This record gives sequence, C-alpha cells and structure tokens, in this order.
Amino acid sequence: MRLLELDLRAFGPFTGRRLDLSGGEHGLHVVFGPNEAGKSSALRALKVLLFGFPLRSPDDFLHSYDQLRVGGRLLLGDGSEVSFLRRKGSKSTVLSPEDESPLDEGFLDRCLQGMEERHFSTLFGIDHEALVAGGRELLEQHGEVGQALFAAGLGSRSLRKVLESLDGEAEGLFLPRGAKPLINQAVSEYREARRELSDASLSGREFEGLRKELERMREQADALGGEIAGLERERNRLQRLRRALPVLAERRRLVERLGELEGVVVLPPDFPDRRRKVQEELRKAREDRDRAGVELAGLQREVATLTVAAPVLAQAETIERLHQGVGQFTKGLNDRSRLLGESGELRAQASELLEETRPGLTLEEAEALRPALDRWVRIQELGNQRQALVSGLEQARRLADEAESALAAAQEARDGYPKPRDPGPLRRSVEAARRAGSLDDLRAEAAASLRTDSEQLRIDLGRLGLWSGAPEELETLPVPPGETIERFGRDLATLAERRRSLEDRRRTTLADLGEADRRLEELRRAGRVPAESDLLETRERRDHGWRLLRRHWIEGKDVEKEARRFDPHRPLPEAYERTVEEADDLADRLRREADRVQLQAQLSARRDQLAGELAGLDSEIAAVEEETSRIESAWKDLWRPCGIEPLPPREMHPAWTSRHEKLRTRAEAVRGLRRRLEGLEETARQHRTALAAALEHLGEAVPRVEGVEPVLFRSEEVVRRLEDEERQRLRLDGDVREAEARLSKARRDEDAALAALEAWSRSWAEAIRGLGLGGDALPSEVNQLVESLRRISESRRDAEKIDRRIAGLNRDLESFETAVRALAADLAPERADQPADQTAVHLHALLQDARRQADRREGLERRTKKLEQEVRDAESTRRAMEERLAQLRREAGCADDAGLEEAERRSAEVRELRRDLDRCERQLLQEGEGAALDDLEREAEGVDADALPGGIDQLGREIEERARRLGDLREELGRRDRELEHRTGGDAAARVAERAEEVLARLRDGVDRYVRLHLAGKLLRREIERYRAENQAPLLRRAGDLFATLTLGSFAGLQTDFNDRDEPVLVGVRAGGPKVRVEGMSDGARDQLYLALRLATLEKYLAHAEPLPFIVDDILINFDDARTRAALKVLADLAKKTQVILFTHHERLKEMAGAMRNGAGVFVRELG
Amino acid sequence: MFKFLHAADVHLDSPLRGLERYEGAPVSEIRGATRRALENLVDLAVAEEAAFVLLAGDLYDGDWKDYNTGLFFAAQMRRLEEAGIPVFLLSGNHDAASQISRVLRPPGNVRVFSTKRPETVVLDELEVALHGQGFASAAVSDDLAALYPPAVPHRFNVGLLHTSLDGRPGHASYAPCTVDGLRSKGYQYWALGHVHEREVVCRDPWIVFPGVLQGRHARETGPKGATLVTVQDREVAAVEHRDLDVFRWTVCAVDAGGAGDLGEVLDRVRRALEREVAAADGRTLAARIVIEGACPAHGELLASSERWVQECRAVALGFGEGAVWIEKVRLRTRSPETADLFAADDALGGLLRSLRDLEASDGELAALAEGFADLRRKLPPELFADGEALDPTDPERLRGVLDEVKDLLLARLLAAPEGA
Repeated sequence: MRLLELDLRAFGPFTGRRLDLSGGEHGLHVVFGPNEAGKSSALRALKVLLFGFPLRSPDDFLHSYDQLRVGGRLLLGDGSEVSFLRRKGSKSTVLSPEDESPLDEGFLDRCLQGMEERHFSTLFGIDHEALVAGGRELLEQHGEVGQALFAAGLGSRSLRKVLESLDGEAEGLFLPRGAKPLINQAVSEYREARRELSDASLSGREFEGLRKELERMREQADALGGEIAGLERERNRLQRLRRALPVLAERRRLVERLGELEGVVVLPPDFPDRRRKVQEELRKAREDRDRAGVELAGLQREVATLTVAAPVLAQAETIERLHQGVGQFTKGLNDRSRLLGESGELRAQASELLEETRPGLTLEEAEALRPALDRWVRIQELGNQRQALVSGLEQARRLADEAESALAAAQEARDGYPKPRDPGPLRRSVEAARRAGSLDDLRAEAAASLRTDSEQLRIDLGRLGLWSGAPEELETLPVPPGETIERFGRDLATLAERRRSLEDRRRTTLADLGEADRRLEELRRAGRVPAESDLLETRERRDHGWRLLRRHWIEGKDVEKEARRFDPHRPLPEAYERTVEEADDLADRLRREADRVQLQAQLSARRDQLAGELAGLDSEIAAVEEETSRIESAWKDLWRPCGIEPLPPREMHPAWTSRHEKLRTRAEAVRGLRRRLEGLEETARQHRTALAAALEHLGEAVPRVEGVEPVLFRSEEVVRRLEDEERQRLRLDGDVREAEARLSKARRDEDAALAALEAWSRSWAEAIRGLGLGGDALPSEVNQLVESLRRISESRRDAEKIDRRIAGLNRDLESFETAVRALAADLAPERADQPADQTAVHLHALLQDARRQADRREGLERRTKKLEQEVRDAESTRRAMEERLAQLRREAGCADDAGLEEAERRSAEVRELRRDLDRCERQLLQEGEGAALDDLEREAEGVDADALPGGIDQLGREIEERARRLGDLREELGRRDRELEHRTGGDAAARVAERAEEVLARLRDGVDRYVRLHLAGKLLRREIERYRAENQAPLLRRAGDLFATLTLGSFAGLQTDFNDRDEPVLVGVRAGGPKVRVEGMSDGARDQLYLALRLATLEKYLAHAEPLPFIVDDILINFDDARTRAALKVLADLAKKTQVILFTHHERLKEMAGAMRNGAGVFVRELG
Repeated sequence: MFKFLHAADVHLDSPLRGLERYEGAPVSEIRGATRRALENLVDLAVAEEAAFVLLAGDLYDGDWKDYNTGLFFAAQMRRLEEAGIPVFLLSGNHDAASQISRVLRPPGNVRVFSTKRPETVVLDELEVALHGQGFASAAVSDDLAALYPPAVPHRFNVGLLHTSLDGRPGHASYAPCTVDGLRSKGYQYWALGHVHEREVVCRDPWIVFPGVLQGRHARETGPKGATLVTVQDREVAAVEHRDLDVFRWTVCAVDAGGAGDLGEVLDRVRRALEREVAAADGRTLAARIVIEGACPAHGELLASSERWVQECRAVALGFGEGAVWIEKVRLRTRSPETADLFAADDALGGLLRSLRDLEASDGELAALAEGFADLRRKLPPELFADGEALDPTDPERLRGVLDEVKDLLLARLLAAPEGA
C-alpha cells in the first residue's frame, strides 16, 4: 500500500491543505515544514488517517472535534485506488470524501494486515528520539547481538528495560537464597505461624494431664483439711479440761458435806409455813371463846327489865280501820251541803225555758210531746235530702236538651256525604302486578345486560383471532378435541427438539470445520505449505521441459511453439533450469517442513470428515423438516372444517381453545338473556291491560305513558282514595247512632228525678205530724222546736239524780259514829263523848306505843342465841388445831414444839447442798461438751494442770502452720483452675491457623505472579536467541552494507564476536580489519548502526509482506552533510521497495533532497 | 408433632482459606466463623425447641490438634443439655483421624454411635428410632448402610450416615452406597454427611445432605447451614434449610466484553458485587472476581495486574467496612486484536509462534517446569493441598498460564516507551 495524497481538510492548523505523495514508484517524499508550519500535526494526521482519531486529540484548537477531518488517497496492493475521509468518533469513522457517507473499513484492515497503531509505529516509524534511544540501547546491551537484532526487529527501544523489569519484579517475589523477597518472606512467616500453631494447640493428653494434676492437688488439700480438724479436736479437749478442773474440786467438797448430814429428815419446803399457820389459829380460837362468854351474860340481864300493853294490841285491827275512815267522814259532811244547792238551781232553769218556747205549758204537759222527739233522727235525715233532690231534677233537664241538639247536628253531617264505589277489582289487579316485581326495571336491566354482553361478545369474538363469524355459529363450531391438539403439539415438539439437537450438532460441526479451516488458513499464511501433489506437478513440468530440451538438442527438432507454451517469457533452457530449481526447492521444503505438511494433511482430512458429517446432518435436518411440514399440513386439515388457519398446537391449546370455550359459554349465556327479556315484556303487557280495564270501569283516567309502572302507580292512588272514603262514611254513621242513645238516656234520668222529689214530700208530712206544725213546715222551723223540748227534759232528769246521792251520804255518816263510840267505851272511857273523829285518832296513838315495846324484847332474844353458838364454835377449833400440831411434831420427829425450828434449819441446809451439787454437775456437763461425768473425772485424774496451757499453745501453733499450707495450696489450685478454664475452649490456635491461611493466600498469589514473570523473562530470552540464530547471518550482512554506506566507509561492515562471557556481541569492522566494539563507537556511529539494523530488518520484513509507508521524522539532524546525503541515498534505495515519507524542518535537508535527481524517486513537498 | 435439626461437616475451627490480608480487609469478620456458625446452630435448636439434633460426621478437621476446639464443642453441647435437647452424632472420615474426638468426653446429652456395628436408639416418647454407625478409620470403603437394620415398625426411622453416596464431584469416595440401597431399609429420613454442598437427594424417603455449616473457601460458595425437619404422625411434614453461616463465599463473574477503559470495567465489577452483597443478607462476603471477555482494556489490565487488584479492593471497600473481602481477582480477558500478529514475519510474530509451539510441546514444558524445582522445594506442601495454588513443577499447570504470559509479554513489549 502507498499513500498517494494526504488531505488535511480540517486538522490542527490546517484547513483544506492537500499533500501530494504520489510521485515515483514508491518514492521518498521529503515533507518540509519549518517550525510552526505544522510538521508534527501533519505527521499525526497521517497516523489518524490510517488508525483513526485517539480519544483525546490535541488538534482541535482550530476545528472542533466534530469538524475534524483528515482525508487520503491510497494505492492498494491489488492496484486499485481508494479515497476516504476520517472523522473523529467511536464508529463509522471512515467516510466517503464526496458525500461523507460511511464506508466499509475492510480495505484498511486488509492493507494494514490487522496491525494496530502501536505495532505500526514501532515497526514503520522512526524519529530522532527513537534513533538516539536505539543507539543508547545498543550501548547498554553492550552490543549483545540477539537483543540488538530483536530490538531492531521489534522496533522497540526498550527491550532491555522490559527484560530488566521482568527479572526485577520476579526477584522482588522470589530468590532461591534470599530472605527479603515476598515469597521467601511469606514462606518463613508461614513456618513461624505453624510453629506458633503447635505452641498454641492444646493436645487432648496435655489437657487431661492438667486436669488430673488439679484433681491430685484437690485431694492433697482435702487431706490437710482433715489433719487440721484432728488437731483442733485435741486442742478443744485440753481447753475443756482446763475449764472443768475448778468445778470438779467444788463438787468434791459438796459431796463430802452431804455425807456428814446423812440421816437428817428433809422436810417439804412448805413445812415451816404450815407449822406457823397452825400455831396462829390455835391462839385465835382461845381468844374468841373468852370474849363471847362475857357478852352473853350482859344480854340476859337486859331482857329481864322489859313490859308490854296486851289489850290494845288485841284490838289493833279495828283501831287501824277506824283511823283510816276519819278522812272519809269529814269529806261526807262537806259534800252533803253542796249537793242540796245544785238540785234547786236545775229545777228553776227548766221552768224558765218552757215559758219561752211554749208559754202556758207546764213541765208535765211538755212531757207529753216526747214521742214526737223519738222520730227526730228521721226528721233530720229527710230535711237534709230535700236540697239534693231539687238540684238533681234541674241537672237532668239540662242534659236532655243538649243531647237533642247534638243528634240534630250528626244527622245533618251524615246526610251530606257522597255515594260509595267498590275498589275490589282494581285492588286485585294492582296486587297481581306488584307480585310480578318491578317489571320495568327488570326489563331495562335485562335489555342493558343483553346489549353489553352481546357487544362484549362481539368484540371478544373479534379478538379470538383465526376465526370470524356470528356468535351463534360459534356454538356449533367443530373445534377438534384437546387431546388431538396435544398429540399434534407433542409430535411437533419432538420434531422441533430433534431439529434443535441436529442444529446444535450442525453448529458444533460447523465451528469445528471453521476451526480446521482457520488452522489451515494459518498454515497457509505462514507460507504456502508444499504438497506432494505440488511436487509431482512440478516434476511433471520439469520432465516435460526436459523432454522438450532433449527433443530440441539431441533430436534437433523445432520445439519453438511448444517451448513458448511451456514458458512464454523465458528461453527454454532457462525455463527448464527454473523448473529443476523449483522441483528441488519443493522437495527440500517437503522434507524440511514435514511437520507442517503432515499437519496440513491431518487438518485437511479432518476438514473433509467434518464436511461429510455436515452434509449428513443437513440431510437429516431436511428429513425432519419434511416430516414437520407433513404434520403441519395434517394439522391444518384438522382445522379446515372450522375454516380456521391454525397457529402451532401449543398456541392453539390450551390458550386458544380455552378462549374459544369461554366465548362459547358466553354466547350461550347471551341467548338465555334474550329469552328472559322477551318473557318479561309479555308479562308487563298483560298487567298493563288488566289495570287499564279496572281503572276505566271505575271511571278513572288511564295514563297514556309507556310502561306498567305509571298505570300501576295511578291505580294504587285510586284504590287508596276509595278506601279512605269508605272509612269516613262508617265513622259518620257511628256518630248519629251514639247521639240518639245519649238523648234517650237523658229523658229517662229527668223522669226519675221528678218522682223522687214527690216521694220525699210525702214522707216529710208524715214525720212532723204531732209537733203541732203544718205539713208544709220547713225543716228549719221543725229543728228549732225539737231542740228546746230536748233541753227542758234534760234539766229535769239531772235534778232527780242529785237528790238520790244526798240520801246515800246520810247513811254512811251515821254508821261511823256508832262504831267509834262502842270501842272507846272499852279502851278509853274518858274520851266517849268527844267527836267521833278525834276519838278515833287518840286510839290509834295508844296502839302505836304498845307495838314499839314488843319489837325491842324480840331483838334481845335473837342476839343471845347467836352468842351461845359462837362460844361452841371457838371451842371446837381449838381442839382441831392442837391435834394438827401434834401431827407436825410427829412428822419432824420432835418431842416438843421447841424442837421443830431446829429440824427445819437442818433440812434447809441439806437442800441447799444438793442444789449446789446439781449446779456443779450441770456446769461440768456443759464444759465437758457432752462427755460423761465419770470420763471427765477420769481424764482430770491423769492431768497435770500446770502443763495444760503449754500443750494448748503448742497445738495452736501446729494448726496455724497447717492452715497456712492449706491456704497456699488452695491459692495454687485456684490459679491452675483458672488457667485451665482460661485455656480451654479458647480460639487462640484457631486464630493462628487463620493467620497461617492468610499467609498461604499471599504466598499463592506471589507464586502465581512469580511464575508468570519468570516464564515471561525466560521465554523472551529464548526467543531473542532463536531470532538471532535464525536471522543473524543475512541481517548482519545487509546491516553491515548499510552501516558502511551510512558511515561513508568508515566501517566496512559488521561481524559477531564473543565477549568475555562467551556471548555473541556486535562489532564494527574497520576497512583495514580491526574490530570496534559498540562501546568504542562514537554516539553518531551507534545511531547509524541502529538505523542500519532497523533498515535491514525492515527490508527483511518487506521481502515477505505487502509494503507500508515508512515514516521517518527528522532522524538526520545530527548527521553532517556527507552522512546526510548518504542516509538520503539509503532511504531513496529503500523507497524502491516501499514508500518512505521523511518529515523535516531543516532547510539544508530540503536543499540536499532537492539536489538529488528526480530519477532516484526523491520528491520534496512543502507544508508552509 | 416435633422438629429436629440435621447438620453435618461442621469442621470446627477449620480456617477460611485463600484470604490474603490487605489494608481494609474485614479481618475481624472472618474470625472464628465456624464457631459462630455452630453457636447459630445451637441458638436455632433452642429457639425452634428441637426435639434432638443430629450431626452426621466431620465435626473436626482430621489434622487439627488443638483440644480447645473439642472443649468449645462440648461447651456448646452443654448449652443444648441445659435446654434439654439430646444430640446424636457419628464420626466421619475427618473425626476418625482426629485426636480430639479420641480424647474428648462430651456432656451427657451427646450420644455417639458405635464405629464397630450399626446401633439403634429408640426414643419411645417421640416414637423415633435412630440408626447409625460411625467411621472407625479415616478411609472406609465398605457400604456401611448395607448392615443397617430394617426399619423398626410404628416408629419414625432416621438413618445417620457419613457417605459420599454413589459419588459426588470433589469428595473422596467413602462408605459408598446407593439411593436404592438406602430406600430398601424403609426409613423415613436419611441424615447424611460428608458432601459439602446442600442437596436433597431424594424425597421418598428423604435423603438429605445439609452441606457444611460454614463455607471455608472459594469452592464452598453460597448459603450454608443446617436442615430443620418437622415430623408429624411419624412422617416428614416439612424440610427447610436454614442459613447459619456468618461469612459467605461467592464467585463473581464480570463480563468485560467491549469495555473501553479501566473505569468501565470497574463499574461492571461494582455492579456485579452489588448483586452479591444484596444476596449475602448482611453477611460479610468473600468474593472471587473473574473478569472475562474480549476488551480493548485487556493490555492495560495485564500490564498492571497488581494495580488492578488494588482497584477491585477499593471498589469492595465502597460497600462499607467489613462488607466484602476480595479473595482473588482472576483476569480471563482477551485482546480483540492479536490474531493477525501471528502471521507477520517479524520478531513479534516469531515470538507468538514460538509460544504457540511451546504450548504444544510436552517436552519443553517439562523442562521449563524442572526450572521451578528450587522454588517448589521452598514452598510448604500445605500450599498445594487444595489444588488452588499454581504448582510450577506441573507442566500441565504451566501450559495453562502460557496464554497469560503471552499477553504479559505483548503488553510490555508494545507499551509506549517512557517519555514518548
């Protein structure tokens, strides 16, 4: 490929600038641009043209990103030309220059052979910097041949750095004898962790050991505790003895004294009290006896002096009675005189009243009117009745009048009311219509449902798809049963599955085939692989040539025509030689590249086999397809009766069929709905007719509105109205009947009242007869007369009653006086003529005196009897006490009373001693802490009281010492127990293990990286060596020539030599033969050496590949004129093989290039 | 009705593997994870008033020697004893090798099945019969279940067994048996252990692996815990898995296909992690990030893979302290461009061809592997125990990394020179 024109349409500082690069066969194009002319921009534009814009471009200062355009015209390897534009963007950046429509980028890929920019730049670009760096690199490699060649071959100027970094990084990870690198460090860290792990791990046996040790120490502590308890017991015993010794001595003394007092009678504790009490009572009995005897004698003397009046006492009862009657007697005298006055008064009053009422009538005559007074009650009763009877009659008359007028009003109201009509028939029609329900609503509802359902059904039917027709037809559509559809579905699915699996296999086979093709293609790209058939063919051709030659030379025949057919361009001998060479060459290659040949053969065979498989699979697929289409057409036939073009079975069933089934059900429902609506309408019509007829019959208007409801409402209204009228009429009739009844009752009442009044008048006249008054006298007059007569009669009766009482009083007074006089004659004759009342009082006083004397004599006699008894009692007590005293003496064993007190004293002493002994023994029991007295006694016998305190102290010390040991032991035990508890169940070891795993992970990663880096370094070195071995000879020869040219013969060529490490190194050979190491060359010479190597590599590359433009950027600035000219010549030579574009901003270079002949293919292009 | 808990493979105090410590990593969250999971198990048993707890083997790691682990286990069992919950367990392959289980005397509520012959325990009150036999040695290759007695009639029969059944990938074959063999016993429930993945093998009868109690490395991903079984009228009424783990493992695949730069790839990593964090239900997450796909950022990623790991960790820290631990970042990206470089007859093309030839050459790989013998000798054998680490003396493993080596070389050789 070569670039014929660079179109800087809008890029960097350029607008519409074109650079013509079309001259020469390929041409060396020197593009001159002084500073600021945009040389670097143009260089970038060239790369942009080939590889597209980078993400960020510095060339947008004049044109914005979307305006940037670089164009070009390329001459491709096949001789065709192509023009295109490049824009900035992520895709479709290659455009047609005419209308900027996107172009296929394939041609670019083809001519660049898939090379990316980085690779292109290193291989087909060189600038001053790279040249200098390359020279320096040569120096740093010390001319190591492999690296020099490989670096030049790669166009890389940092091969050494790559090698160093690979080695360096690898060494940072691992050194066989290092400590610091990551892997070495991690390995030792891991070992450390493993060691820690084993330290931290507690083995089961170790744990059990620790536990047993703990157990043993616990037992030890228990034993020590037992010892301490024994010692404490002993110490307690000694302490007990020390406390018991004094008590034991006291006890002994008490027992001794008790022995002395043996035989003493021990008296009960209450003995002295008893004795003192007996003696006291004896003394008191003696005193009592003496005192009572003296008093008795005095009394007997007093009784002898007393006298009593006996006759008075004998009349005591009569005297008392008369004394009580004295008051009665005095009162009787007074009453008699008062009653005589009252009797006269009453008789005078009666005479006076009679005079007022009936003058001239005596009291006795008045008495004759008394029978009339016997009827007084009746008269009074009749008088009271009169007023009520008169009022009753008046009341009855008024009521009768009122009833009469009410009756007249009711009759008038009833007669004014209209005639009745019968609502019966109409009511029955209404009820019948109501029972049928609200027909209009039902009808409207049914009609609406029918409308919406039919509408919806119609729409859904449209949606059902595949079939269209009326809903009625839907119900009869002969849809095939689900099982049949499923069977089709299964068949088709099986086929599809089979087809998929075949396709999969086909894809795999195709991929394998592609892989085989790709590898074949790779083989082919790496250079055509010779085949046996090629050799045969070539040999055939060679032999043909030989036969021709033979015929021509040996047989002398003219083979001109055949020879031209054999090779039209070469004379026969030359052509024959060429075929011989070709045949040999092929045979050699067949032998040399036997591996590749075999590989190709294998691949071809595999490819053929795969192709065969593919064909087999294709035919199987075709068969499956045929089967599928057969079933599919059967499937379609199945549906033909329905007029349906079916979808695949899986879509038909259950999806479509269930939709169809649902719709069919709904169509049925719609039909039912329609029937119901018709029924409703018929019923409504019948009801309306019946109602209208009934209304008309009643003479009511029939509404003209449509529907049953209006007529029904009107009918109901009429029925209600007729029913109201009937109720009103019944109520009026009732009113009239009631008024008539009230009137007849009022008349009866009036008659009754009149009769009652007449009966009363008759009775009244009868009652007052005999009172001397007329029959028509008013009740008030009669009352007054009767009252006066009654009062006169009463006064007379009262006066008679008082006269009877006066006679009684006279009898009582006389009898009292007689009694008093008789008594006084016996008892007090001197008082017989005095008033009776005074005499009675005197007698009573005599009686009182006689009674007082009799009472005094009786009291004295009672006192005498009591004293005699007291004397007897005192004597008996004295005897009893003396007997008891004797008893006490016997008890105490005494002869007389004086011995009693001594006996009591000795008894008390014995009792005291015994109590003390008891106390002692109780104390010993307590001190001895339960030990028996005898044991204590025995223990005390053998004890030295003075040694006791020392023994006790000794024991205390021993106990203390052991307690200390036990404390220490317990402390240790606690510590170990805690330690064990702390250690057990802990996760210290687990944590170390986790850390070890972390180190392993680091190690894993390090090894991973190390292996890659190490391998990379190793393989790169190997490749460098291989490259050297393969290319050293031709490359060094060609580079040597170039180097000689570039150094103007200062060096004659290049050779390899060996350094002190026996590595091959590059040396320059001076014309005379001396060799110069790279280190011995000047900087310029080294730059030229690098250039020579690069150019030689490039030439080698171009020998086998399509040429690409070689871009050179100002590499000659350090060259003097002569060497610049030499370099230009070398580049011009290179330009015969590929296009060379040299960018420079050196005027001098431009001139020198301009001076070279155009025939050398050198062209100068100016940018400025 | 009653409930019981079925757990297995507690592997108490077995450390979590593959977690490299780094600044900001949730170090404290992983501490004692298996212990806390066991505590969770006990809490659950108490809260659910479980009638009993079954532990179907592998309480401890076989090579773990710290007796404290056993004591911790005993303490937890005592908590169950206080709640009146009996525990039935049998030893698995690990326990048979463990020194702890040989010495430890568990509390009275723990019943350990014999290792000599199948034993049957009948719980009359619950109408339950438990059958089991533990491992006498670390490797039992007989079908232990074959000698288990037939079901006790009118009882709910449970078989405890530590087994790999008819083989489970990643698990050594122990006490092999078949589902049909187990079914033939007529039990209602088979409480199995040994397989670390939760699995209901069969529902009639119920044959259940509850899985590990707590995931311990990147191959034990997802929720872990125990199985809660409800029994009614001597039939299994419900089987629920309860998550008891405190730390969750996940492998987080990120498709970087087409991603232009690092920022975009990081965005995708963040989104993928977001989903996983949400699924972990508040637990700390250990995530292995695998970045796949062809992307232009490939070269950039490879040239600075270490920095890349840091970036992923920074993303993880964005989910809050202690939320995520980045276990590993694996780059499986491809460059979209290298294909045609093979063909070029230049130094680079030669290098690529050489590497490709090497990939096919066993002899050369073996020689390369030999070169790592020094390194291999230095490394502790535990590093290779789980097959996760790269054994450089294994030619096959080297073959596997050649692609990455190629990418590494390409990235470095074609990198723009410093200062250019």
